[in-house]
Amino acid sequence: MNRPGPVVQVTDDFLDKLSPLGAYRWSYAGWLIAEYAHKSGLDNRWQMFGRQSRFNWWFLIKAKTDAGTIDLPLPLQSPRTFWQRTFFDYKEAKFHLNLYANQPLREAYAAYLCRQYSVPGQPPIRSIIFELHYQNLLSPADAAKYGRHTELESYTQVWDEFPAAP
Amino acid sequence: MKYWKRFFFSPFDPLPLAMFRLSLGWLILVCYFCLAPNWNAYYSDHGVGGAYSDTWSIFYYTEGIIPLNLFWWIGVAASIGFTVGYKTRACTIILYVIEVSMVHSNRMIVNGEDFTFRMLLFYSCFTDLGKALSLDAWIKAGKKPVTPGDSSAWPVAWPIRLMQINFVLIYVISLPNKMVDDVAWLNGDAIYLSIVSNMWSRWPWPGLFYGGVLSKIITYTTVVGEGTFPILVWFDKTRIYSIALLASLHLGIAIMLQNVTFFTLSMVATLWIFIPGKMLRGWMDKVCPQGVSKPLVKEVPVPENIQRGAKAKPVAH
Repeated sequence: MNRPGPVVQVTDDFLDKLSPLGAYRWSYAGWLIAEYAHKSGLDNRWQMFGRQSRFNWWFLIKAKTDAGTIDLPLPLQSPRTFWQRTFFDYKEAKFHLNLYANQPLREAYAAYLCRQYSVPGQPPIRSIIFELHYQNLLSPADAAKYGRHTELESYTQVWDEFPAAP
Repeated sequence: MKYWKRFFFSPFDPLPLAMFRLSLGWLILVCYFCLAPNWNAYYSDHGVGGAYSDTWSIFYYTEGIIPLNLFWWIGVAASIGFTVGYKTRACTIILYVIEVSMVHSNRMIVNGEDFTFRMLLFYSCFTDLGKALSLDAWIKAGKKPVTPGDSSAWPVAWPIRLMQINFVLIYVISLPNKMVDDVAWLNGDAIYLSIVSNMWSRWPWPGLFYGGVLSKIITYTTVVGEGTFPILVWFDKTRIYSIALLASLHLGIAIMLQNVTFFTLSMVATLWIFIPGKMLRGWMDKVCPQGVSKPLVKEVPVPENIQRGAKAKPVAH
């Protein structure tokens, strides 16, 4: 699980050359090791900033009600104190990174937001909208040339709109 | 075989372990406080990640029986106990069980420090981190602040050695992945891209990295530091320099980047277990001449490096 792609390829090629019984034993041993690692918590994948983004991006998560659309007061899209930003919100970035790549997670999160922000006496939430905003980064040379590190244009896409559960 | 036995089964100086325990325990405690406002949102069955999909968690098996908040309080109590070294082994096991449960309850909010804590606590379950600078040792020694100098009372090295090996493997594994996954680690732009990222950076002067010269210097220093650490840390002459370089890199990350602070500090905390106890005693005696690190019993001169397990016969004062 921690092997670079080319090493995985070599291992797979090796597996193809084994006899069916040999391949089974090899796979079974691999499964046992993986199961042990999973249960003991040693199955981590270490990347440590292995892949860097070439654009800055952020979600704007909105709630649509009968009275209109509102930006929800969530950690990465509302004013936060120094303490909140530095200490209490420290998992939000990773959570958004996972939201970015995981549509079922966005759906589960939308359901959570509907429950969390439904207030008696207020217009009910009809749906949750995930709006992606992004802005391309300039190369270091261009950043020095223009005195900024992002392109001037930023882009917006509506990724999902999840209706609230009835 | 002789080297194998000496490496894995000799006694390990408890002083570096104590420093590691103090740093890690404090870090875990702060983490718990930071998680307090979101504990239920992150880890409950109806939280941000939806229903539990992984059952390898005590939260899953006790749902509806034990309130989730109670685990937060247990975690806080265990991390205080772990830090001060009171019932150290029991606190370690409790922290490990809760950490595993946190990771498995909601994979979507797992940060690097969760993985590091889990790995460190797993190995710590097999050793006694409370042999020095701890309430356990203080009570055992008749309420005197002591570090046992009798190496026969030291914990056996193998769990610590496995922890060291696993820690080293993090760099052995991540560096080739970095090189393969992103050309920025080869052309020197990796640090620039981190510094200008709205998600990770808290550095207020990104302009310093425009042009890419500073980025190249720090990127290549990082690559050299991470690439050489797994080798140089095992040799007496180079160990402290490689530790210093890696600690500087991680402290730099803690200052410049946000949302990875606990992870990067957990890596720094782990570096204590690589520092020879003899060297640490020297530092501590300079800082505290009264002798927090003075041994209970006088040791006969220990040949070379005490972490290599040369058993010294204790001589009573």
